[in-house]
Amino acid sequence: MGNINGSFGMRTTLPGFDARNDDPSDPTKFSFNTDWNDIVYIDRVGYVNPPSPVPNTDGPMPGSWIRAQPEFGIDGWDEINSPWLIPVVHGLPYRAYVEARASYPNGVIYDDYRRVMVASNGVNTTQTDHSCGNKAWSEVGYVKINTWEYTALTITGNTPSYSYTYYGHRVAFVIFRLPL
Amino acid sequence: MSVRRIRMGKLAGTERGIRISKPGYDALTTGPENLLLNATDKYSNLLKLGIVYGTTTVALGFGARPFVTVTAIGDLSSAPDIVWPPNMIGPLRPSPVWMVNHVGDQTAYAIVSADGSTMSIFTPVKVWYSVYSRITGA
Repeated sequence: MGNINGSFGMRTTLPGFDARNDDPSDPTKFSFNTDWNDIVYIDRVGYVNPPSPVPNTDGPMPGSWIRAQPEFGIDGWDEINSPWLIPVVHGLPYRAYVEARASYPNGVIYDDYRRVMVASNGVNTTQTDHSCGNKAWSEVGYVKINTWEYTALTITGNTPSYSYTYYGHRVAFVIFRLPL
Repeated sequence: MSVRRIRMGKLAGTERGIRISKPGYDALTTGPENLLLNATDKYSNLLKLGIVYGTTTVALGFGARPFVTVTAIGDLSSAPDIVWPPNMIGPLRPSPVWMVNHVGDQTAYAIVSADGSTMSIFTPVKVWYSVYSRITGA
């Protein structure tokens, strides 16, 4: 670490190689080199909790996205201001790559943002557990995480009816800085 | 005026570690986008990657519960009306898959033990997992 052949940085090698004099572009000899400009950095990892008290409004749905102005009848402005969206990073000079996962107490972590697709709940009803919506919005300058979750109880019959219960859930996230 | 591109030891606040910055940026004050190396207690490192096939308990050997993610590799090969090219694999989104009536429940989740010694992954399909150094009590 330090001034290595005129360049400040750090190099680490595998056993038996010389960090100063061997070819630093050879991945069979080096395990790390600050001159490598094609590697991904982990900016941070963490959890975000839903707002409390739980909002009694819909959160962003899957497939929705944020836009500064409402267009074509899709109100992106409502999405960006949803109380279910929790800002986790400000001031990023780049658009981050984000992994987000539904997370629950006692060390439970799910793939993606929902636990169960459809669960049968009797002959005439269907209960759907939605850990709902794209879990992360990443734009230049910020990352927001969607904590919205609800349970929908569909009562079928001649006239299907629906009952929704809103509740939030924790989200685990990883923010990466890609080599652009 | 030159800047110090290598900072080591006590950094900002309670942060300890090593920072090395790009030319022209002070390693202590610049943002993460200008750092070539950032090994501190604030940021995280990827410690372990792996693949399991079906429900498995993975030995971690840590002293506290780490931060993990899991990614299921869904299987739509039994779904009707889908042409499934050979060697085409990868995560399906959203997950679990929406065609549950055709392909079965492919839910994947992990439970990490409170003492960080093991991680149990529950799934009927293949799963990639990642373990990060950030320790959380959650």
